[in-house]
Amino acid sequence: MKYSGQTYALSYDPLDQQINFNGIFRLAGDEEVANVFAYLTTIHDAVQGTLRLSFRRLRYINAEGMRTLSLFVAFARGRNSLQLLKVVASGVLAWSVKLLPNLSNLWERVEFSIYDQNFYESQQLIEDTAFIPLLRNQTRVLWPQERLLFQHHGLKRGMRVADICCGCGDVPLLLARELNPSFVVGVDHSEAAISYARTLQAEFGVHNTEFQRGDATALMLDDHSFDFVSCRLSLQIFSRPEQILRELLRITRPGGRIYVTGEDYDLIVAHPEAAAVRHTYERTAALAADLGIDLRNGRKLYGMLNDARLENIRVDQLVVDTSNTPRDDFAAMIEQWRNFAAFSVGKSLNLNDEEHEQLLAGYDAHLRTIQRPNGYTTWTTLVCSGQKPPST
Amino acid sequence: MEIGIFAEADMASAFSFGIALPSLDLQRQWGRCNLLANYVAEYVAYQFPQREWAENLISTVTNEFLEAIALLAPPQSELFIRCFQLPTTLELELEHSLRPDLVTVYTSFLAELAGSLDEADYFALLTSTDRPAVAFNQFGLAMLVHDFSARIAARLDPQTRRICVRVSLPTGEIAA
Repeated sequence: MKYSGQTYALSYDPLDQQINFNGIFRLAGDEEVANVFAYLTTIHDAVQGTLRLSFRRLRYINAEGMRTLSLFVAFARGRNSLQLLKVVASGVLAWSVKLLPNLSNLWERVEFSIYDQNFYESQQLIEDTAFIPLLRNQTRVLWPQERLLFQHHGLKRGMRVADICCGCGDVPLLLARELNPSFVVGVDHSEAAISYARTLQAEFGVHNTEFQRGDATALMLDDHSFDFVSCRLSLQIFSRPEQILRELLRITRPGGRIYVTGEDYDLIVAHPEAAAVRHTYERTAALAADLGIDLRNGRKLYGMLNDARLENIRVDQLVVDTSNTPRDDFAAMIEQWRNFAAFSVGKSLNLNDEEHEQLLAGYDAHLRTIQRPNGYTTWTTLVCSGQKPPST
Repeated sequence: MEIGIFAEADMASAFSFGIALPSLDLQRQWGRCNLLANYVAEYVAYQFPQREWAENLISTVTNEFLEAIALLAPPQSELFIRCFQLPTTLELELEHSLRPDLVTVYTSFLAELAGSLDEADYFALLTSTDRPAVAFNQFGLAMLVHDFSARIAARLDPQTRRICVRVSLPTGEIAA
């Protein structure tokens, strides 16, 4: 059941008992207020238990819109049939954080929450400025091969491209600079990363790229508006990656391609010091799992795209090793991993001294392997893409 | 007549711009308040590091301000919008003529907002089932003070009934 105004749409999702507010909800005049109020009260009367009002994709509201919501809360309070009225805001929309909490003061059964505040366990670590050098080092070693893989997986000149969870923005900028898409948008939830991306954009002198801060599970991007949508090394940090995949699918045009990548720590091999390195990455994967990060997510991507009914699925392994990557670059990345695992993750999980030292020693063994002229090691990323059915 | 504390424009303002347009434009096409607010927000937010947050906040504040004024100004009058930045605040200023019947009620309301807005008064406006007897965007203006920590000041020339209303938005709110 839907109701649309000139600049907004309200839709009811019976599976979640949720009314989704989309667009710009700046109401004008009694008639419009009455229509919206009638829609809300009709839904209300068909629901038992908890009703959710989701404002995660509502760009703006005005005073009339807020007043209409307050009238609705008064109506619900008068009916007294709901157990809970959940009001869900987005942390990237200032208005929703500022205005919606007022509704909680109108009825004790109104519960206000910000959806993307602590919405994945490792959020504070991943969205910190300190994480950016790690991302940069990863791009440095991945890009020479991934550039070709982007093309192999269907990215062509002139396409409109979206890179969701773009981190510090270096990959969207490299795409824009080297593969000639018509337009690239990079979206990330981290304010620090987006700020860095904009600075980098100025340094690169790239003009056909935009960055926006956003929630990957409620993107402020239009349906079917991109030819190629990527989400690299990010589904692994969310406990419910299918929510992001749903959004990737929504913004991809029919016939367009969705490109995802993920790590698989079981595919990291090293010689010599194989046992120490193996143990370290098994331990790191276990620690990451405690933070909701799946470092063996790469192997699951094919199934996820298949479940999403994508067609023409392609899978490749992007193997960074000491034969195809400068050892210094590889070592710089592992050193970042070492510090992130032992200090950031370790601190977050309150590792004791012994565990901390073991972890550092394991990464040091890996670094020695890289620095030995005859040492060999790999880091494998699974690259998977699929086509959105043309008839969607 | 002066209401609240009217800070002077700083010549070292990070930026400054002004727009003039007929009030009738907004009154005929209400959606232009939205368009103009979004335009102002995009222009101003560009300089803030947290651009999306700043844009969303500035658009929301500007829209309420415009929707209030669009109901107060005589249709044939001209409306001036100015925006500039002081060290700790973003200043948004609207200058316009007032309909004669609204001078007292509007200035009284602004004086109330420039003082301390009572929590109960705010919620009375939010939950009001009837529109105020004198229809202008009281709740929208109250929102600026209550929810966005804005400070309101105004200068009225009683002879010409031209009023300049200024909303001072702490940059701390914009960079939250």
